[in-house]
Amino acid sequence: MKYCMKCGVSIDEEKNRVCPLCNTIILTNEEIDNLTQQNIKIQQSVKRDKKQSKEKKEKINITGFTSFIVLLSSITSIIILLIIDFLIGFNIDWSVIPIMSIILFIFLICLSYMRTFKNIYCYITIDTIVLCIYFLLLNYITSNRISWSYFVVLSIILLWFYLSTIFINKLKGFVLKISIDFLATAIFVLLVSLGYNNDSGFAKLALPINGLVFILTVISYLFIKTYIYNWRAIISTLSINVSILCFGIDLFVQRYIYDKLTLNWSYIVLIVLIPFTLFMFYLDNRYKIHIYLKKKFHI
Amino acid sequence: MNNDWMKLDNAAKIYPLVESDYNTSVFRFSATLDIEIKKDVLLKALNLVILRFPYYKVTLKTGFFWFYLEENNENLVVFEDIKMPCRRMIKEENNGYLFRVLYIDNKISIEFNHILADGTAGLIFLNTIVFEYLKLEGYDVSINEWIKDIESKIDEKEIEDSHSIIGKKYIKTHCNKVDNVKGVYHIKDRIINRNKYIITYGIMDSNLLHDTAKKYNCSITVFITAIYLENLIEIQNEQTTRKKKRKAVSVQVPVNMRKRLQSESMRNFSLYITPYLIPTKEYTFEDIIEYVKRFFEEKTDINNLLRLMVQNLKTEKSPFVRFLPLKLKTIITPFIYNAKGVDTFSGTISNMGKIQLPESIEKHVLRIDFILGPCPLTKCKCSLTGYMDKIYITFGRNTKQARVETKFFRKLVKLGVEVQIENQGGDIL
Repeated sequence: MKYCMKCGVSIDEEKNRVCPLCNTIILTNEEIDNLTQQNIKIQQSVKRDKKQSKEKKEKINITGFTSFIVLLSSITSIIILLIIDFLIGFNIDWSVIPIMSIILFIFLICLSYMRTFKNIYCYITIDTIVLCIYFLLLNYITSNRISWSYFVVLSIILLWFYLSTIFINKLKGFVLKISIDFLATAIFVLLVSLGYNNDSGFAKLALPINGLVFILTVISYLFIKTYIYNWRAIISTLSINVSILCFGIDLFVQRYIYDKLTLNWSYIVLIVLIPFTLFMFYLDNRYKIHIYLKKKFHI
Repeated sequence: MNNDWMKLDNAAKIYPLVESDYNTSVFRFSATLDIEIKKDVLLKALNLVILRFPYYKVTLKTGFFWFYLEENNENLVVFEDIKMPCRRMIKEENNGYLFRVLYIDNKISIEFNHILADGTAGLIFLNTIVFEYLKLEGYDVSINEWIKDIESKIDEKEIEDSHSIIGKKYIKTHCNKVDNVKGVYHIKDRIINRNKYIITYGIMDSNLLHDTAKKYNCSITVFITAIYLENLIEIQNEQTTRKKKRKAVSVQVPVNMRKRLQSESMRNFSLYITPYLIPTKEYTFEDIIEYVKRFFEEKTDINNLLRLMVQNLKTEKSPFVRFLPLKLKTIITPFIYNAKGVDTFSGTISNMGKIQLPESIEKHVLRIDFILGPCPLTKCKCSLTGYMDKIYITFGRNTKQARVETKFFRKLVKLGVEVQIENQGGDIL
């Protein structure tokens, strides 16, 4: 019996050459006798050299300095822009847009560099608000009304919803999060459709596709969670779900455009994915299939 | 068994719905003898013993709402023990039986599908086979309560579904729901292969382990559970560096209900308790022991166990579960089992306690091992048997790295228990 040097457990060296727990080599009496002091010294010096080279690498913290430089140059740029604009026409005119962009830049970059908030979600929320205000103002300044910025703001808010479900820890459970995302997307599409003064696209196209994506995502999630250890089952499920999604999108689009239930492009996806799924299914169940074939056809 | 068929017991109903190549629902008992095992003698012993256990001479059949067991008149087979332990029962290979008897060198093993019975019943079956084998080999051997006399009459009580019978008795008085921790931590390692299950045995002196546990003023089960929980906490801390992402860790511990409720059942009659630790608290080893001890005292209280039993019975009898066609049950149950079952524990410890065989048999049986089948989510399971002056702690895992075992046995060594390690099949490099 020998003892593992790391674990302290006793091991029969005739059955095990390594410790079953930590894979440390178990030396036989003969090997211990042959182990010279010289060998051990060489190994120790190699280890020491490696350790020293690691210690040489030092990190320099430059975040505070960078944010200060960025802030200073931004403020300088704003002042210069104001002076130039004022000197050209004795009023503030075109410089408003670049100044607004610089302020946006300060908010987006400097705040995160200065580490004003502890939580990344706070940055996301502040950035969302700032971006929305920026685009609304930009749109209003350039055309004296809110037009294109309406869609941009809606998209930013939708993105904020998506990120919220990821970052808010109080929201527990993937299904709840995906339900919120699904609802947010539905409202987004409805508002976009209303923005175009046409809600038929919402009812006939966006809502069914959104619903399909939601259902397939939930199914995929449940499969992945349950069969996390079986990659073939996961790939098969994802492949089936992608096939159904493509098939569904194609049908909905065709119905919306031509008012007909026909397939245009999704059959190509299906031709590729169905054999692939069957192959994965075969791989996962090959032993059972072989036994069945042997039994039924004597193959 | 009436009319050549019988219903699955309350606990068994879930197993055929969730079993797979990864989650086999199979456990194994092995007895190492001082003589080499002969295949023909073992088969003869098995054929004699099975007459005393007609409720195991069955095959699984598909009904409209549930699976059921039907008498199996096919020949019994014994296998050479060369494949993975606790692998799935394949109907074609095993003539439809839900157990298999294996032999290698001087070791007899029996693997049971949990559909049929639990550990205690399985161990009695193995002991009876060993008894009969030794008798056929010409040894003068005697029996005790761990062995059934094959000449004795079959008691109807052995076939009963004690879960349902006792559950029905207490359905009105013990209807409060028993809460369990959910969304617990599972070791984040890749599964090696569904055809590999690595077994590590830790052998130690029972008195030494008992004395070490006594130092902490607790039983061996509490002591082992506390070490397991501490290991899981440490592994989680290593694998999940962000504190906010850490989950509770819990261990499933089966409780044998036979002695507590005077049951003679040879089918499933165990319940589970799951002591857990929450990630937000800092624990010392002494704290964990104190907590586990209190948890065991509280949760193994008979009223609490009866509540658990009633809860299981109510689930089975709920109209939705009852009248959902079996095909749909087979599709839905793995998801529910994952969310409500495996998601409530991070590992399993099953302690069979001290096995006492008659002296005439004890001198021929060198060792008794117990292995729990693989689980793809918890990835590691631990089982204990005490035999003669030794305790055998067996870990089964389906991951490459022996995370739990390493920490577990190192901790025992640190606490002063000398441990000898063995693994099935020699080195794994």
